[in-house]
Amino acid sequence: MALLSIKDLFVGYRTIMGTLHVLDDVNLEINKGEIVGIVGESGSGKSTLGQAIARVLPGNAIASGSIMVDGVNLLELSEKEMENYRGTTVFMILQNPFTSLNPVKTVGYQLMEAARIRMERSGEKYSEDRAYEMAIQALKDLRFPDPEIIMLRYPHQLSGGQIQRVVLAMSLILRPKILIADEPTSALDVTIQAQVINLFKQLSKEMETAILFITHDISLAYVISTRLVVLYAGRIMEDGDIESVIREPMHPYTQGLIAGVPDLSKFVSGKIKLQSIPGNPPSFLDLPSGCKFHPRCPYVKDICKVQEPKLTRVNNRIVRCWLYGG
Amino acid sequence: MPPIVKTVNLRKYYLAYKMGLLDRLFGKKPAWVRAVDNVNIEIEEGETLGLIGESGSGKTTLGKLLVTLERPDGGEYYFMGEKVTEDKIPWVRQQVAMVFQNPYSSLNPRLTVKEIISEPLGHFDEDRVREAMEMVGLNYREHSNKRPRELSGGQVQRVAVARAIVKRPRFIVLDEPTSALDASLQAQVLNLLMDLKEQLGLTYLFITHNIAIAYYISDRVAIMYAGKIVEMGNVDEVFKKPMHPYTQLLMKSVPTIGRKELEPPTGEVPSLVNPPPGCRFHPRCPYIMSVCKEKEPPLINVNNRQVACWLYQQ
Repeated sequence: MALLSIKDLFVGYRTIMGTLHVLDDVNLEINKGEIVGIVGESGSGKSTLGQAIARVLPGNAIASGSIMVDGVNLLELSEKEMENYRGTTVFMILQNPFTSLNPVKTVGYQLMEAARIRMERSGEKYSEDRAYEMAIQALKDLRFPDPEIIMLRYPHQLSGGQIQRVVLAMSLILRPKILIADEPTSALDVTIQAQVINLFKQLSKEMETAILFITHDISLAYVISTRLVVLYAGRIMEDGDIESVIREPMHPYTQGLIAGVPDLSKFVSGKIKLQSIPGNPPSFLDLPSGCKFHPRCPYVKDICKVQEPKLTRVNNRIVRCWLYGG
Repeated sequence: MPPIVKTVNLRKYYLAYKMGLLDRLFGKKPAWVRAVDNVNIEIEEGETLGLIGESGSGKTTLGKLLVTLERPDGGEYYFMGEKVTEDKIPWVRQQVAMVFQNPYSSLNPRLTVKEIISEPLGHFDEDRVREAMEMVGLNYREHSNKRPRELSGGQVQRVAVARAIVKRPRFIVLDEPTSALDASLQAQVLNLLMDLKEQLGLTYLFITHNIAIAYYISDRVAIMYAGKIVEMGNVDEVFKKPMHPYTQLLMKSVPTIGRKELEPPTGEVPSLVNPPPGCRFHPRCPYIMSVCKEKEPPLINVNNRQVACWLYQQ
């Protein structure tokens, strides 16, 4: 059975202009140890998906459908019951690392708190020495040269890269079943990004953590994930094994996205011109009828304008497009 | 013909903290951030130099020095063969422009698009604004009376580019112009920039931390580390056979389709207040020798390329 199973997820935001349908008909199953890259442009709903699973949606959001983890529907839990699942079952790394730590507590305090939660939930008795050890070990795993000093620091005394690694250290201590990482490396430099990516892979290999890696960078998604999910206007457009999606994208949007990526592998045999998708992504205030991609699609047919295609399984791939039967 | 931009030992230091009266009275030593430290570069007319570096390596400061938004603390700057002094700055500014990373914060939100674009001209000239807008693919009738917040990210960055070209400059510094844009718009803006360069005969300094983009757009690349240029040369040669250990590890850190493993250097970019002695990369370098800790390697010519590393010194 899948570790995480999302069925017919719908998320909307109530605004003065009416309800915005940000996620519609999202169905996704994720197994242990899988790393799923979620790619899409800004405003495609990828962060909303992560927030819905971690139950950290803003107050004006409405969600329906089901998000099952270990036979429990996270959407039906009360805030208090959800507390027991946060951290050890679902853990989310936010895009802006400065908002994920408490600014008035030291790094050590926050890491030891994570260690305490881990111990309590696995039925161990809390021991401060053991918690300190766990925190130091996690910081060492993240290549901090002097973890004892970092433990005494407050978040504002650290750089963005260091904070992001502290948050990662926290996830190493908590060992969550599902780790949601929302553009965790976009504030980091390439060399630090590569260090963090290697840690993510190690985490998923050693502890069988399922990782949802949300990003807009396809090259990055390729390097880290085993599977790729493409979102557009709040809908899953394509879902399949990473190698096959990148080599042979089926959905016209995925094709356009991959043709436009400036990736070093494309320039090996001389320079080629990057293709770009004409037009702009749609606004949720004014979504097009039928297939949400039809105004930008090179293969648009009459049916695309009136009726939205359903997710269909083609070989080992799931795709939402009339070209493949809809 | 002289290169359009040439710097000789260009230097820019910032104070790491404000020196108050009490600090001065008690003789506290000022601490300097060496953002740009003895940089020598040349950019030929019509070429695109890609400037690659991690955050805090001084690449934006170098860009600002070249468009005279910052004054150097040492060294010389030659623009079209003429030494740039205080009285030459207005003349330089007629011929240079800069496009910034985040268009929403670099353009005045209270002005309309046509006011923003005509601002560098000093007066409103509808024909020139219309022409600049058409060149970047914006419609004058549709967009000229809008304000930045009414436009999408890609359109606002086009406005910033139109503003940069309206005065017909020779040299444009592009500071991460596509990093705030989405994947599908990034390719649009990059292609636009390359077309404009052809059309108007421009010269670019393209600042980026995205190595793949640098490869796509540049003729030559310079790699900056902790305020210094460590390697510079033809883009194909540098990417296929990087010489400096930092460049080599940087290339192995770039996520690329078809290669699943990344091999980044350990550690972080050093502080510019207190850079390590000798070669600034030595604490992270896999090939460290004893000379690296003591003496700074000069930038020397090796096979048509410039590199600052003791491995290549005769």
